[in-house]
Amino acid sequence: MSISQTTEVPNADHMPAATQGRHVWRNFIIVAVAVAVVPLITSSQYYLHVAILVLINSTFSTSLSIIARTGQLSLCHAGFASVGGYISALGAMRLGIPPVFGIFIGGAVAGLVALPLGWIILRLRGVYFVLVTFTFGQLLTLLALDLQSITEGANGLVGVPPLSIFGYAFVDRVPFYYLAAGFAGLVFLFTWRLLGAPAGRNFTCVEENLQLAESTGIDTRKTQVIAFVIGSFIAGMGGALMTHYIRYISPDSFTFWSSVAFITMMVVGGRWALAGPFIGALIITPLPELLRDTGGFQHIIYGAILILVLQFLPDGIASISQRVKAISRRRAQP
Amino acid sequence: MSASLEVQNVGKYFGGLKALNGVNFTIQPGQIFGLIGPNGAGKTTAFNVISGVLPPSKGDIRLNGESIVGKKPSRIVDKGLVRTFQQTMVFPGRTVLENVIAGAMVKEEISLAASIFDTKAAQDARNRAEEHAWEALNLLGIGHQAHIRAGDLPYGHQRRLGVAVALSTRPSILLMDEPAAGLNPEEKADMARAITSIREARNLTILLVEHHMKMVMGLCDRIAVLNYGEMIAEGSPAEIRSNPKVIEAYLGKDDYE
Amino acid sequence: MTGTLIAQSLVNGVVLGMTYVLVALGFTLIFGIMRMVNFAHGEFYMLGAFVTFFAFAQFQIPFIVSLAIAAIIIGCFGMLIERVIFRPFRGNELNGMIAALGLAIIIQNAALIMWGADPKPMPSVATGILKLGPLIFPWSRLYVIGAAAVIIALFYVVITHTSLGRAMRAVAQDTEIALVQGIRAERIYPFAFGLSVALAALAGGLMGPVFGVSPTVGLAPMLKAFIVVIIGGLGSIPGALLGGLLLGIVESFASTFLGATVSDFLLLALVMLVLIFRPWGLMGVREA
Repeated sequence: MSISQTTEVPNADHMPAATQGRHVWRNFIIVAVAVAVVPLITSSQYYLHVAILVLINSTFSTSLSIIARTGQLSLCHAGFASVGGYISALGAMRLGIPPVFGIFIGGAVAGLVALPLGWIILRLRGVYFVLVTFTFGQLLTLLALDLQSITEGANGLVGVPPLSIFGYAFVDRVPFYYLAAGFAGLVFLFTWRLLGAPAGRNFTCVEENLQLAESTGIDTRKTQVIAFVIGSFIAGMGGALMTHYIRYISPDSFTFWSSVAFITMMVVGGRWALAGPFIGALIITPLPELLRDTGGFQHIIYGAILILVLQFLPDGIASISQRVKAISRRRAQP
Repeated sequence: MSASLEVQNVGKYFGGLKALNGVNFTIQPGQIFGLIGPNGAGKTTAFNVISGVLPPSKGDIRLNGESIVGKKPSRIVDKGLVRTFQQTMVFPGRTVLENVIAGAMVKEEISLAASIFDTKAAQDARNRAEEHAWEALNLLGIGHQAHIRAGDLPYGHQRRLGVAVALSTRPSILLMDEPAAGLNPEEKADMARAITSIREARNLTILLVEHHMKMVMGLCDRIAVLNYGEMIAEGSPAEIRSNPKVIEAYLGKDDYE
Repeated sequence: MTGTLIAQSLVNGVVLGMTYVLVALGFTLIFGIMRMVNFAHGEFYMLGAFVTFFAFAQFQIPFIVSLAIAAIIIGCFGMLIERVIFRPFRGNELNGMIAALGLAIIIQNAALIMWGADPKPMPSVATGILKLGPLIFPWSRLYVIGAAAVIIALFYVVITHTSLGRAMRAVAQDTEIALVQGIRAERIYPFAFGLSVALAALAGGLMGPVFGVSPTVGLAPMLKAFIVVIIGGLGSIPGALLGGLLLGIVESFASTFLGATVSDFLLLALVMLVLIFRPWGLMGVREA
């Protein structure tokens, strides 16, 4: 059985595919332009830093939603980000591998680790996936601490080289901002194409009705493994990118609580909408900063938002616009 | 020509309980074959074993001469044996057409990369799938509802959609789990007509598991009867109707309508 | 020397194992009954440790009484939480789990605000050592073993010999059949949840003197509880007993003789082996 019951109907916009495609392109271009002008509006290094975090976090929450589309919740997402970060950082520091390639290698290693893990646990009921990904994520953190000779243990890797392309190093905020924006844009477009593709539609079939999917000829386990590997691959790349931005990684960089934060972004933004995870990253990432004056209460507010959204807006903020659209469409049709 | 489906000495045990024991029957191509029995006779177990959801404890099941024991349900679908469900089974959030396309895409071998980059091959595959989907919808008489959300369809139509999804995978044999369960008399008659027409249109072999007797007697070419996991009779509807063992098994049960 | 080390490791392993059993029992109970993965389980362990600490170290209440107070307070708190937070997510495992994650964030950070991040040293409950020939056992450890054994025995009696326990087992098997017997699952859930987190609180209180008390102590035992239920079988109470003791002893020996790194690898390997060869757990029931 799938861990989620199929009684709830995910939001789905039922416009013909071509019209929907145009809408996605239009919205994507609007957001891309908005993202592009941010550095022109503000020169504050701090705002740019938060904006970079939003962009990278959106790749984590979006890739997590690829996995979630098959009805699975990965609590090891930050663990895979950490794998990608360590691999790329160590490759650059110890072996002199340029971070440009390191990011891909980091993602590939994360995906390669996810493959056998997914193959073993996705034979089992959905809840085991959550238990094992949690356990595995914790063990990855323990390994990063234990393997001192390689990872420098709790001290972490200091002085990770910056990303550079053709000799140009992305050290300053503004260039890195555009780099992160490009990466986030690619991840978004990839996810869109993936979920729109027949293989991606299978993802949702598996989530909506596992039994029917299997008896319709969809190999449900393979579908879930593919989603898990792709999602973890992107998480690994995101983790590597983050590491070359912060120029530091330690076992505390990506913890269980980071995974929870990615889940929060995804849920608050909207799991079933393409733009939901991005909206979630946009809202949740600056939250701790905005609530800093509340003196430690920000995390409590954070948890409360998660529970309240789950209860009253289970399809997230992205579903608000769809609800409004549905109402207006109903009004338009006599 | 080999038989469509051969069930050879199949048994299924749960601990000490023999849910099925020594079940044998053969279905010829193009037949509508009924598997009936009172509640608890092992019909559902037989159904799950044949469709690959449960592995049999012993015996063999051959589809067009090839053993399918131990194969995953999705692989068995690829081989041409597809099931429908007793309760309504649809992807509720999608339109009727999308539901059926999901089934039709299964037979289209298309790589992930090709479908992401939306190559010509992927587009062709999608067009073919959509064609098959429309065909299945029209065969079941729900073509006019193609763009409605499956979850919003009336119950009887959802059941027909379930059959259309199964049909769109282009099976050679269709396993139907109590297609009439929960339908009103009018919907039952509609369903029976739909079953006959899809057999004719596709020259399909159909295995019907049912306890609604009238429907089985009217539709099936041959019938096998299960009771307490054992097969107690097999024959034409007329033979089954007059078989004393069958009458005894059904005696005092309200199933005999 | 090696003999002493082995005996020491064994005692430490059993102490660890007993705590894992207590944490895992509650966790697996709630899963069996409510089909819910309580990601806040470790936070109730932490709260139990704090309540015990305040009762025992601040108010000088005898340790056993402090433990009982912690179990009762946290148990009632758990019943409240079940009603207020988890009820809306009935029947939706995924959202229930995510809500539990939110709850874990709230509890842990509330504890941080109230009590600060610094670990609080809990005074030892028992001092001295027990000498058996060449073997030396600290009473503080034996005390934990004894107390945990009593708690587990009590839990067993509650589950098997009380009407509440019978009702819980009926609901765990099948809510509909339970309903036929006149047991309404909705009325059982808060009690089951309260009992479950009370067990976690007892574990936290018992381990307070050994591991210290701080707002972040809950995560590690929850990780171990997860491993225990994977090894023992999700929803299986005997599985939690066997898995907990096994894990505690393996961990203790591995970290004493092979080092922490190997021990962590070993845990991972153990989990994977079980998942590959016996995915329903050592004592779990294989699903058809």
